[in-house]
Order: sequence, then structure tokens, then C-alpha cells
Amino acid sequence: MITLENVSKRYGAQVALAVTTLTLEAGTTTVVLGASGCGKSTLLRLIVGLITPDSGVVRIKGEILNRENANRLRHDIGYVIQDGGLFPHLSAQDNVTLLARHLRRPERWIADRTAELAALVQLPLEVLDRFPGELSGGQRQRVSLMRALLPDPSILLLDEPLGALDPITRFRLQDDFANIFAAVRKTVLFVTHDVAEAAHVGSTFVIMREGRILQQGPFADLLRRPKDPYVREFISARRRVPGDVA
Amino acid sequence: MTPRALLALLTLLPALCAAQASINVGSKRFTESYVIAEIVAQTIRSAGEAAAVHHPGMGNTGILFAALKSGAIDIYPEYTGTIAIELLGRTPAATLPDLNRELAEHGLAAGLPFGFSNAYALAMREDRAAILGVRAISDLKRHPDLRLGLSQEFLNRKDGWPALREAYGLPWAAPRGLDHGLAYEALAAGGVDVIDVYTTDAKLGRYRLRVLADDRGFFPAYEAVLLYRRDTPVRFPRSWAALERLQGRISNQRMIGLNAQVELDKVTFSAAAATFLAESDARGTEPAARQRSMLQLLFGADFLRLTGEHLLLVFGSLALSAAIGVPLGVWAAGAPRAGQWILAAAGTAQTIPSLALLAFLVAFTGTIGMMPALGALFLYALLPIVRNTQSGLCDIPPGLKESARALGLPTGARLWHIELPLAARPILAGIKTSAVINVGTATIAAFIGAGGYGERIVAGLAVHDHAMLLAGALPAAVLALLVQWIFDRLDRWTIPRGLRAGVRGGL
Repeated sequence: MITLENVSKRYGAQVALAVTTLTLEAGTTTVVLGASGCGKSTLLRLIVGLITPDSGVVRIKGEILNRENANRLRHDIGYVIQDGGLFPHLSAQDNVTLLARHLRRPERWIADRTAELAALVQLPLEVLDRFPGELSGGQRQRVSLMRALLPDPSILLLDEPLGALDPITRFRLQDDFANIFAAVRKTVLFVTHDVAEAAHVGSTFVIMREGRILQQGPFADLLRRPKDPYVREFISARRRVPGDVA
Repeated sequence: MTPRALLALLTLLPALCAAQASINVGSKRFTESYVIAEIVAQTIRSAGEAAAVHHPGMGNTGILFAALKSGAIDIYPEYTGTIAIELLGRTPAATLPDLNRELAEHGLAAGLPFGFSNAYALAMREDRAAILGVRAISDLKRHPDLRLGLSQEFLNRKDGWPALREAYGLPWAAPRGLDHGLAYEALAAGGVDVIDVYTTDAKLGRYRLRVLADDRGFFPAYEAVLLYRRDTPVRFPRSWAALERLQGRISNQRMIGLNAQVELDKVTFSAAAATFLAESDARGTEPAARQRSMLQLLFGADFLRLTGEHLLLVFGSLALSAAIGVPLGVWAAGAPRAGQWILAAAGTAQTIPSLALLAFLVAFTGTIGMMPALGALFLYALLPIVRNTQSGLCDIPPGLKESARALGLPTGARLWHIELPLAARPILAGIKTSAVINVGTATIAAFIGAGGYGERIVAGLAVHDHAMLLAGALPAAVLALLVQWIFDRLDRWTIPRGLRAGVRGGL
């Protein structure tokens, strides 16, 4: 579905990404884990074509991503970032439907799809009349997810979508997002540095460090058969709360 | 006012400003020219055949001549010496028929001598001239320590200072340039010793001055005549017949009196002209000076026309600047290297002094009035709009720009739906800045006959009439405040609701 072949990206002398090969199967939810600056965001930005690789190719459904086909391929990709990236001058409704209107989808289709997605992300329809500045952090991320899903893309990229939320909202959205991913059956790539969150929403996992992929596989493999001491260290770097019996 | 109504008003302005079947009378920027042109305009009006529009103080000789050739005006008062030397490059000895043969090639003619001559002369204070024993211009050679203060026009014209200096072998290489309006005061105060005067200057009658004899017969006669388009007498025969009756009616003394009424007694041009025309015998009885109140001045008969012209100047140029400045700003934001050049060019235009820019545009377009004035205001209004558009676009948070790209919106749609609305506030602020600056700068346009409130300022400056000057400056200031207020209203209407105060930014 998405493959990267010998992709590298540098910023000056700094290697931001060096991936020999990475394949994301259709319909799976892959979580990319790693510390800040490990190249996880660079990976997503390369796939959505916001930056171009210095070498190597990114394939979306077999097609090599380039300048000419980028906009067409983006219509098959939903992209959600940490703050939502909602346009402050447009209402939540207009944010959600902007692309569909530009693509001249029928009004009826847009209305049905909006209602369907609002139910999916559990947002009351009247909330959509508000502007981003009038929404809570959790509502913004739900609206942002609606916007990403509206054209019914087959790929969904999420760059630390829950990173800026308070713990309770974050806990709730982890459940909701996991359920939504299971319901929509899309190729999901979810970036986070929170191991518990990753384990909760993902089915396959990629651990990155300094632009390289250290290990890719199911969570059990990361836990029991780490390919690198860093993988063990990263996975186990969690604190138990005193008195927590679980 | 709704934007739609504003637009309708702007569309109507040119129609409101345009006259019906009318004779356009021009004048130069000094009292005598204003008064004679006003006498001409009133004479035409009373003939009842056509309307007469007086465009007061359009500029210097070159500008009036260009306006006459282009048909912007039909007629203006001129002097035979100026026609011969300045306009046709002839010797001052050329007679009126000689001049007319040559003027015919331009479709112009000169005629109807009024009866006075406004020649150049040099003048000194009577007491000082008596002590030094200076009677004639050739006597000046013996006193190279005397300080000359000459008007810029006299210093620079072919038949002025350079020729005079050569004819008399005068010792001064570069005399001081002095505004003619200030020269008499400077002379009276002893700041300078010798000034150039016109033989009909109002102040010749008031100060104790000695006009130096032109002992070598250097200064040619400057008979006041009308310079006009040849078709004018044919198109308006009754008006012309009325004008012919003015021939020989104004002596030098009479003209000094008329000039003094305006400059020293503060009578309006039109009142002075009306009194002159009313006195059929016209022999010396000076009319009682009619003082005007400030309100009468402010809301004089020309108020609506000046307002219309001023609005057209400000908003016509502003529309053009916005139409071109916003795309330039978009370009500058998208291509930083080109952007530096664009901003530098717009910035350079801003630094050109307004009079120099007007003069250049008059030469460039070959016409005077609205066109070059709009051009100059357009250039001045460009920088704030381009700069604010560019910086407004560059200041959009990168996350929002990337979100728009990641959505798969093409460049044009991103600009239209996302980037321009997000930069709406700084862009509108730039347009507002330009509008307010334009209201002030548009007053300069009167120097090249484009009208507006500046017409009163120019007239006020020309005759040292502070009330007249204020009557032009005040409405311009009020208009600037009004424009500011309207744009503040417009802010609420154009800035997207999500960006206004009270709604927190989404990112």
C-alpha cells in the first residue's frame, strides 16, 4: 500500500531520515514510535509530499509520489497534526467540507458524509457551526479527523494527534480513535512517543532512532525479541504509579 | 454606507465631474492669471451661450500650453513675450500676426489684448537705490556686493536671468532663488537688495520701491492676450463676441488695482472679477473689499466639484494600487528573491518627491490633470499594500500552510480560500494606510490641474491667503478621518468572523 525504498532526507549535515525499506500493508494500523527528533514526523511529511526525499522513492498504491501526482494522491490521504491544523477563519463545518467542495462533490453527498462522520467521531452537529477558536482541544482533534476522513481516503496519517491534550481527554480519545480505526479499515500510520498509547491503538509497530528504523513488528516482538538495546530501553521506559497493582 | 453604495458612488463620480457643453478656462499659478481667467469665465457665463469652467492655477507655462493643445482647456490668459520666446522659440520682436501664423500649426491662436503689459523688471527699495545712486539696470554693475533674490521662473527661463546677465554684463554668477510671493517682504526687510518684479504686481503700489529703468531695452513687451484653440470663436460665437468687448479695457494701473484687491484686501478672484465687470466705466473707483467668512469659503460653489475630484483621485488610484499591489505582494511572498526587488522598487517610488514625480509623469504621459495625478498617487499607494500583503502571507503559521497543502488543494485554491483570508487583516490595514496617505497627497495634484481640495491650497499659497489655504486643508483632513473611519467599519465586514477579536485563534 505504502512503500519506501532507500529513502533519505538530510537537513544540512543532519540526517533526518534514512530508510532502506518500509512497507505498510493496506488496512493495518501502524504506529511509529520514537523519541523527539527521531524522524517520525519527517516520515509522515515525506509520505504526504510536503517534503521530497534527497534520494529513493515513496510509492502510494504502487505509484511513485512526485510533484505532478502529489495533489491527486493527497486526495486519497487524510492528514491530522498535533494542533489539528484547522483553519481559524473557517467554521468547523467549512474546515471539514472545504476539499469536497473544491472537488465539486454533490451537496447531498457532502451533507450525508458530514452527518455520518460526526456520528463516528461523536460530535454533535451544532458544534460544527463553531469556529476552531471556540472549540476545546479534544473537539478540535475530532473535527480534524472528520476533515481527514471526509473524502473517504484509503490512507490516514496522524502526527501525534493527541499530544497536546490533557490526560483525561487524551485517555478518552485513545479509546475513540482505536474504535474509529477498527471501524473505517484504512491504512493508518499513527505517530506517537507514548508507548502505552501506541500499544492501545496499533497492530504493527515501528521503532525509530536518529532517522533509522530499528525494528518493525507486532508489540509482543518488541517486548520479547528486541533487535537493539535501544528498543528494550524505549519500551520499558515507563513509570509505575506507587500503589498501582495492575 | 454599504460597500455597494460606495461602489455606485465611485462609478458615478466621473459623470458627476464631467461638464456639459462648456468652455474650459485655464490659469497659471499667480493672482493676475487667476483674476483674468475669472473675468473671462464670468464674461462667457453672462453671454449665456455656454457654461464656463475655470481650472485655476493649473501650473506653469508648459503645463498650460500642453493642456491647451490636448484640448483639456480651450482658453487661458498669456503674454505675447512668453508666447514668442517660451512657446515658439522666436525673438521678442515678433508681432501678433507673426505669432498667429505659427500658432495656427498647433490649431491655436492668440488675440484680444487686454490693454496692460506684465513685463519683467528689476526693483530696489527707494531709499537704498537713492543712496547708491542706482537708476537703471546698468548701474547695478557698479555694486557687485548687492544681494539679488530672483524667482525660480525668472532664473531659469531663456528670456530671464541668463539673457539679462549677458545683455548687461552683470557680475552675479548664481543669484539666490526666492519665491516670488515672498520677494517683496524679503526686500522690505532688507534680506535682499534687488528682486525681479512684474510691472503689474499688487505690491508695487504699496511699498516704496524703485523700478529700475531697462536702459538697454532688454525686456520685451509682455502684452496680456488670450491664447485659445482656434475653433473656440467658431464653436461659441456669442461668447466670443462678449470676450471681444474686454479688449483694451484693463490698463496697467487697473491691473495693479485688481491684483491688490485679491492679494492685499483678500477679495476672492471671482468677487474681484465680478466687481470689475459690474463697473462699466471702470475708471479707478476701487470697490469695497468684500471679506468672506470661513464657512462661505469652505462650502463655496466649488465645494462639491472639489470633493468629487478629490474622491476620484483618492479612490481611483487606490483601486488601481490594490488591484496591482495585492498580486505583487502575493508574488513577493511566493518568490523571496523577486520579492526583494519588488519591495525595493515600490519603496523607491515612495521616496520620489511628489512634485518631481508629477513633473515626470506629466512629461511621460504628455498630458496634465487626472491621468498623471492618478499615476503618481497609484505609485505612492503601492508600497503599503505590497508590503502588507507580502508580510501578511509570510506570517501565516507554517502548520496552517502545510495543512492546506496536505489537503491536496492546488496553489490557486490555497491562496483564495486559505492564505488571502488569513492575511486579510494586514492587507486591509495596508490599503487603509494608502487611502489615508492618498487623501493628503492628492492635494498636490492641484499643481498639475487635477483639481481636488488642493486647488484651494495652491490658490491660497499663490496669493498668501491663509483662509483660502485652510479652506482646502480642513476638508482634506476631515476626509482623511472619514476614510479611516469607513475602513474601520469595513474591517468588521471583510475580516472573517473566526479571525476577529473574541474568537481565539485556532492554532
